[in-house]
Amino acid sequence: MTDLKLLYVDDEADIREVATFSLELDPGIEVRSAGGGVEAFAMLDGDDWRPDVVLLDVMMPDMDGPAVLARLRERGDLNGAPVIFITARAQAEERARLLGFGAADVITKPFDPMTLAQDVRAILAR
Amino acid sequence: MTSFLLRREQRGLLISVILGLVVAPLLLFLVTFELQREFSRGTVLREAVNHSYDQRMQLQTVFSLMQDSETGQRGFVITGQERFLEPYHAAQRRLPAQLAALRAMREHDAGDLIETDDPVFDRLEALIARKQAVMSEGIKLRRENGEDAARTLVSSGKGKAIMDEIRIVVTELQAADKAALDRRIAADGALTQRTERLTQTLFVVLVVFLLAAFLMLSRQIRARQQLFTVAQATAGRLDAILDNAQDAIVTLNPSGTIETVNKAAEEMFGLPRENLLRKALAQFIDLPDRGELFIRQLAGADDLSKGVLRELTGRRTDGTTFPIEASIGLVRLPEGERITASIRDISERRRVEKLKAEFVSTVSHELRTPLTSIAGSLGLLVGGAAGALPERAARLLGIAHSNCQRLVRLINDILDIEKIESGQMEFDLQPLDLGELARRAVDAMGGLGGQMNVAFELDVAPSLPLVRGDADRLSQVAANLLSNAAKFSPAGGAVEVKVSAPRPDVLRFCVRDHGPGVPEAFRDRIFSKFAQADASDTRAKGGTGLGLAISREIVQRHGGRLWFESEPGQGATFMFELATIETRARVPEASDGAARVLLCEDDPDIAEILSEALRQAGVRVHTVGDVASASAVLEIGGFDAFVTDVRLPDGSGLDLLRRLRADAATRDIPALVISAEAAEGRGEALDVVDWLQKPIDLERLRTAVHRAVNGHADSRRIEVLHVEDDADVHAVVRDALQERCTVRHADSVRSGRAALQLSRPDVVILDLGLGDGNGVELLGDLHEGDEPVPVIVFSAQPLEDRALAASVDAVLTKSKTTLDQLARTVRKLAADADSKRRR
Repeated sequence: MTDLKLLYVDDEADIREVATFSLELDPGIEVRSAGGGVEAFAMLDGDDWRPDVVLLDVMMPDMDGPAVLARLRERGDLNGAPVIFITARAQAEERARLLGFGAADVITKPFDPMTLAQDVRAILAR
Repeated sequence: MTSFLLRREQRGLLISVILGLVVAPLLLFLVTFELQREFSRGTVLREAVNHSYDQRMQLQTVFSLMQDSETGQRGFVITGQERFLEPYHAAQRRLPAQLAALRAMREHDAGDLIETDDPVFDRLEALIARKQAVMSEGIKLRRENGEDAARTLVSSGKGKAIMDEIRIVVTELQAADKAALDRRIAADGALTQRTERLTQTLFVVLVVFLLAAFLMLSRQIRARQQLFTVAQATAGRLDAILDNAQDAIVTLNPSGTIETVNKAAEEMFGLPRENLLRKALAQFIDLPDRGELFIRQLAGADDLSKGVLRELTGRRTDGTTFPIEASIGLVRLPEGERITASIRDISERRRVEKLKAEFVSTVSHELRTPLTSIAGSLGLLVGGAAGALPERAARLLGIAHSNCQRLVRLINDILDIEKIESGQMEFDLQPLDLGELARRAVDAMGGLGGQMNVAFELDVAPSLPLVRGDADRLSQVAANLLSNAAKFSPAGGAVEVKVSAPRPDVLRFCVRDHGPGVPEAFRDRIFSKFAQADASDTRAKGGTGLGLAISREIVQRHGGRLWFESEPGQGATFMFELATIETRARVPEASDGAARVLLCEDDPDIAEILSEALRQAGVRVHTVGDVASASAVLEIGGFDAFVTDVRLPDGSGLDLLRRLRADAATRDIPALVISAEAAEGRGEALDVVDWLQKPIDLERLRTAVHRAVNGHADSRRIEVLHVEDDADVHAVVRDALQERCTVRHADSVRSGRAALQLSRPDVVILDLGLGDGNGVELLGDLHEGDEPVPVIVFSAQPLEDRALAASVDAVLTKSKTTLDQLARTVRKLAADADSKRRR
């Protein structure tokens, strides 16, 4: 039975697919993904489904991760659900910047597909 | 060419000077001398002529007197009348004087024209005497014997004969005199002729000489003109070179005043030449200490003649700044020492460096994006997420997967190298347990060890001091050394990892393998980028060839060293050493409120005496023995004063003080200097409380320490509790506050509560979303008691509850608030609480 609804937002379709695959290795996780902020908002507008956690890519065209996060907060979609950023920039400064937006944590790309779900659960358990 | 011309010209000049100064006056003197002689000879001759005339006149006078006498005497003889004798007597009276005068004249000439004895004149005198005798006899006869006797005497002709003789002698004398004069005039004429010839000759010589001198001079002027032209051309060429130089080139006098500039300098600083000259360089380049010290250092530096390269900041008149690279050298000119500075605007280079860094960063990001998909897919397949795979497919996918991971490591390493090379790698230096770091590294490496069938054996010496380092970066070094050792170990081999203290102030991290060792030929290149013993290694071992280069850089940036020892076939030992620090735990905590003083003195006996004296002054003393330890401990902070010796084993206490003064965090610490030398004004420059010369007056030391400590009572450190579950955010905040605050960290509501029970801080910084609850849960604890602790909510989430917001002292939002703002708020709240307490 799923106990964790996860929204994955990334503009790279391949990565979305791999990540979804990885996350769904954990049978408790239900993954929905979107290719960007607009798509995510549309999805949330057309459905009562609300995520328990959001994984947000940082570098996306149109709206970047922090912008999507701000918009989600504004729209009240989060309802306290933590947000984890996924980024290819591994520098400590970038990490600190992202945490400054109020993210629960930052996962660096490339992530380990076999442990991604565990990593997310570990972050949520903190 | 120039020097040859110069030499020839100098020789010519010397000859001219000698000729001009010596020969010409000599010639002129000779001519003058000769003319002078001629003139004086003329004068003498004129005198002689005059004299000869006078003499002849005198002779004539004497003769006339004789004739007058004869005429008078004859008149008397003929007439017998006494009246006729009057002219006779008159003449006879005058005669002796006139004769004497004549004799004197002739004697004057004696030896000149006439022989010394004067027989002719003697004869004249004798004749005159005889004539006088005859005349007076005649007069006597006339009176006594009458007219006839006298007439007979006259008629006898005796008187006439004498008189004739006198006339002859007079004529003879006159003729002789005239002849002598003529001879003299003739001789003189000859001499004049000689003078004329000599003068003419000398004049000709003078003219020749003058001509020669003129020729020489004109040749010299020509040579000089030539030289001037050459010099002008050289100077022009140099000017052209200088003015066409891309770099600004200035020369300074030793006090730092600009003496010359080139065109590029005018353009660089946006000012015409005349506005740059005679100005201090410090007006146009930001120099430490407004340039004075810098220039003095430069002027005094021994190796300045070799030139030094400095990166500084240039300043235009409009206030804009630009990065420059100045190559500074010392030249010794005839007029004294000059500093030359060749200044290059490196804005463009900086821009390119930045672009390159951005490019590398972007590329690595762009590479990572597809790699994420590839590594993810492969990882899932290899991990069995898609079910069991045929053996061949699994092997191929395994190869793809491991190479994909290598690519990721390579990108990470390239990013690291780029950061190190551009100086952008920042280190979060914290007190660090190197033994613990080794333990974790070995644990993390366990998987690889098992995979490679290599066992790690860890040996950490007990109770080691801490080092100062960036845990992540040093872990990276440890991981690199461990994985290298594992890769080069034979199957079933052991890798020994050892952490020890070879000296009390140094920790050594040692990794020893029993592999083939480092080949001789490879030793020199082992730390180079992309260096691998042989190309096949890359594939066999899966390394990037950057690991050791990065590791060594990281260790060096920590002030340590990384090296290896190896004998082929005997394995290799890679190790690095870091200086230990006296950590906070070892610094006595002044819980009793006593001031804490750091003493830096290498001589243990002196240190003991001084610290005893300081303890008597009522302060807590912590002693270190070198500059490195002192700066490490000072960086941790918490000291109220700093006492340092000047000569320390690893440097100068004054240099350390200079660094302390340059750093905002340590600028204000009161300092005392102990030195064998006199201060000579250095104390003021470093703002020391006192400069104590050895042997030290302990009473003065105690007084000075007292002054130092009490003068800064207000700068008490603020105790801050930071409740924050993200370690990175905490690290950033602690960094920002460390100047004035001691920051404790709690990462959850539970640990926050525990910390508050332990001691009450001056200020609490509170994050809201914590692992085990919300930060606001702590507000109750904080508001307890009669002295509520000021609270700053510092969170990414907005504090929506207005009542709650009103109950805290400040609400700051993470992404909107700068760290400076946070630090200011902390200081303000602490000061407010302090003043409230005092009231």
